[in-house]
Amino acid sequence: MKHGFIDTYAHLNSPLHRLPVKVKLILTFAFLLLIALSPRQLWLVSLYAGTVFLLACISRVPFKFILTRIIEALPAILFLSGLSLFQKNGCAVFLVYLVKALAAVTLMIILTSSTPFSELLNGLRLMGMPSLIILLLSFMYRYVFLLEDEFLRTKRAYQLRANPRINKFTQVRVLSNIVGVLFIRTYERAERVYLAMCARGFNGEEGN
Amino acid sequence: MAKKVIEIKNLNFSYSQGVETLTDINLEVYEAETLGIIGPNGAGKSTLLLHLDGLLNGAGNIKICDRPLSKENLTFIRQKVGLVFQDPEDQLFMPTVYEDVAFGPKNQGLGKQATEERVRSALEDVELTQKKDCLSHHLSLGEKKRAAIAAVLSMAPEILVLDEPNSNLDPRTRRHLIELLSGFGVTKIIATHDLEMVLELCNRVIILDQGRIVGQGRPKEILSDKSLLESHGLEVPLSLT
Repeated sequence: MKHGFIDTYAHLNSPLHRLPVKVKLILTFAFLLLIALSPRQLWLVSLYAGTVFLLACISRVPFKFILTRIIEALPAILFLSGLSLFQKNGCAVFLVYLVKALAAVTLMIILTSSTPFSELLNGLRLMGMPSLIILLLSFMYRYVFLLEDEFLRTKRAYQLRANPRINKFTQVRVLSNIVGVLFIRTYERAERVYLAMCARGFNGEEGN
Repeated sequence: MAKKVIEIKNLNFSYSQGVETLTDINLEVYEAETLGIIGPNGAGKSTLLLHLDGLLNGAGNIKICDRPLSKENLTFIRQKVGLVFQDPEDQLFMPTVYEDVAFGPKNQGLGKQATEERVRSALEDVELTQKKDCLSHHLSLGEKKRAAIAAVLSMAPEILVLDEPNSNLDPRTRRHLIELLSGFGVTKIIATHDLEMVLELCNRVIILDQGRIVGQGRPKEILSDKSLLESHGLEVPLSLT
């Protein structure tokens, strides 16, 4: 089945895509720090936002894709920066925080969408992230597709036998059943995957 | 007489109280032989296989390469016995094929170069070298099955244990897999419903039903015994009728 939410634009050809992943990671984190620690000057943070915008253009990742990702993060951004409204001179502070947060989030989006996920993990490993966390992240990546497939299959099986005149309340109940079944299946798969890991000599930490 | 590599004595196991999944299993496996395990669904085939790697602990005695199955020997035994699961989705848990095949050797504490060498030769053995940087979820089922086998081969096991290696494969892929398997010189234990494959690959076969070994012998003899097969949910393969 086709999956469109990870690695969709990771194999484009742009200067950002060609940059070694380690360099990309270090630069991104340095830039993030800079954004987070710089003084609350609107002109300064606007400069950062402009740079991020420029990076987005260079990366060739479609703006529509970046925008949908930003919208997903927007509620959290608005809530957190909105808290600063309740103080003296709140509006200006709010604006600065908003631009800072948007720039930081967009930067992360550019990083993750211009790098294949497995390379990203490799970069993090090189930078000394604990191997257990890398392992967890790679499992998430490996099984999120499977989970989506399973969900789609179950949904199709439901649609085939569903009564189209079913009311909303029953629909929600059925959906919650599907989610429940998925949870149990995932749980059982986790057990089997763990056995498979043990069978290959896993003892709590991946060797290097 | 060939060397005994697996010795199971009076093995009993139940998942929950009261329901016996394996009852009084006695089995010996010799070096370089290929043993088929057949039997109806739910007979306990997979359960028996999980015991060989110490993933389940029933009551009884199991010896692998002359060492008793115990906590201290687990690392040794899991290196000797390579278990290939039925569903490759369970076995391929790393993002790329390469990382998956390298998982076992890394856990064995091999260095970078030795690991790479193991991965290279394992992928060559299953003819999957070109797919080494592919993501596991982009492989076809036949490729996934072969990648799962490579992931075990890379640990250089002496005994290869396969749980339904060719279920759900199309005829050509199945044929390819059988030919690959027949080329491996190690001891093999194969649980399967594919009786034709048993005839082709195995020197010996056991029938498992309701957790008991109800028959064993040379494949040709066992698989042409109509009444024995049919009383245990199996049937005589076409090539023997």
